[in-house]
Amino acid sequence: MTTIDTARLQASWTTVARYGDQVPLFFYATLFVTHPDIRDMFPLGMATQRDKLVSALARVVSSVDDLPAIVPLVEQLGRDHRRFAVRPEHFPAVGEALLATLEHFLGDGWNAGLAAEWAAAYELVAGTMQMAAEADAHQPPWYDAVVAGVDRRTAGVAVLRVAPALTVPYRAGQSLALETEACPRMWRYYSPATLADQAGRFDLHVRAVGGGPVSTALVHATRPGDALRLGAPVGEGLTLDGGCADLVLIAGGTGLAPLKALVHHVDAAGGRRRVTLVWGGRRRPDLYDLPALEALCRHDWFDLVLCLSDEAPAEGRIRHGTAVGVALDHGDLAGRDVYVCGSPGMVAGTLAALRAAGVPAARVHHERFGSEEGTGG
Amino acid sequence: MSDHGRHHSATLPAGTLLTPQAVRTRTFSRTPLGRRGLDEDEVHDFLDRLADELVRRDQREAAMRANAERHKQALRAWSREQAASRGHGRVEEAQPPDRPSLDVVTLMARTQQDCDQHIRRTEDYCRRLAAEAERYAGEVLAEAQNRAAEAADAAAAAYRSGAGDGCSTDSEELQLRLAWMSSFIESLGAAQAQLGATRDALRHDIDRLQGMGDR
Repeated sequence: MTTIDTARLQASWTTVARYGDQVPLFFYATLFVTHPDIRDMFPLGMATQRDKLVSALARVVSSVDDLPAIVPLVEQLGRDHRRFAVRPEHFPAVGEALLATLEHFLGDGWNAGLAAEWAAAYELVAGTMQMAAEADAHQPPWYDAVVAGVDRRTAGVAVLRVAPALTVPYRAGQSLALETEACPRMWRYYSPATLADQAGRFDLHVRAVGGGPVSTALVHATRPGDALRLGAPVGEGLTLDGGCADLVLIAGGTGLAPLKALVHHVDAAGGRRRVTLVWGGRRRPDLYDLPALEALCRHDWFDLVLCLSDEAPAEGRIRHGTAVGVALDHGDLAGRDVYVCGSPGMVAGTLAALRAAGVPAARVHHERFGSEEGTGG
Repeated sequence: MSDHGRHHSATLPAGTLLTPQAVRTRTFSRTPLGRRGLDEDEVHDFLDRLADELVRRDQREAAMRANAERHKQALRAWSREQAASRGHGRVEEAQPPDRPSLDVVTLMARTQQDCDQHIRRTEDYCRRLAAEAERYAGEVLAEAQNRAAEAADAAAAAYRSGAGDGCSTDSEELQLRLAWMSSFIESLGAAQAQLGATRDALRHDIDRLQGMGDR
């Protein structure tokens, strides 16, 4: 087997990467021209897809001399590809298009030696992806589901009741990639807000992102009976470890969903830890799930704190401020595990404020999605 | 399978690989006479089924490994071919047969670019529409609140002049709140009709965009 000359590989990638978006554009054009059947596996708009490809390639190439650093990433990529119904013969097709692309942009800098090295590196990545996908073969590649109910809570937020044909084995706090028949081949991550009931059904909280085709379709155009596909559960950032420390959950907007699932999880386990949920929105309509949360207040181990950041609350039970500000104000976080979920801006701000307040990083939990996997849209 | 041919070893040494054969030939020591024990036939039946399952899993695993190995071999052969053909290609300037022409690839890339630009514009348009709708909703609400406040003030003033000396703060407050609420409801009713029309227009847009998404 060829040993890979990392420096040469990286230098050639640096040269190619200077052509920016032209590189993935050429790559996908080559792939689709040579294998037209693969075109149907991708969405109509390819702009996001191109960014994903380039960032994944850049990460692999930059760490190709540090395999342990990229193997988990590549394995997850392999598992993620199961839901796209990727077949083994697609891997050589992609490798071929990749080499053609590199050759095109490197021109005279391309030679047989470099080709063999790129082929070896690609073989390593493709092999690792396939192994990881095969190791998951006991799980279905995706879960078919239907929308069992749509509850429009505000102008921009809906709670969807999802009924999968097979029970999806997620844990509270995890996320699922979701595709709606309204937007084929566009996947977005959402977190169940409840534990699965006996029929395997659960709730998702969806906020319509302006201009986002998937979220807009889910909130405004989804009707009971519409078909969905769900990917395998992912994410360990917000799941509960086996510990028994009390919890402070800090949620912004629809970031409530995974944290509400944690409350249900603690409830199902007998309510043996104290849980304080601090839920913040910008304006009053952002607090779209009050009746359900107030019903949870019947438990003596559960506390609910509500706040609004962009307007002075008219109701005495709602405080004024950001969720993290109110959480730090509300009580001692010492010895408690803190879980944070919200928009990327909200999470970044919350982590910074917690750090500044001296909360140990090991106590703070949040989801770290790779830059290529957003939750919005 | 019958009892015949089974080993009579009561324990397996720790770390022994549990093969289908080991499961099939596994026996357990008998309970002393008069003590309750498990039905021997049932235990053996179960062990046999377990062994069959192990065989099936071993076969499946072997098939998967063979499959993975085949793909790896194919990939290796292919990358060797690639390297070899490139060695010649420089001299003969011949395109490998599976390489599409640059013109076709360029055309494909440009078409995709046009399509992406079209989608981006449409999404921008939707984003503006959504923002506008939200601002409009805020304005309608503020307007309704203003009107309700005016109506409440007028009602309170009317109450004070009508009641004269019999004026009570509680009844004034009641009149004020009643006027506020009925005016607010009236404004919202008017806005609702207008919003309904806007919503229908948006639905139409969404259906059109989805039609595009489905191609």
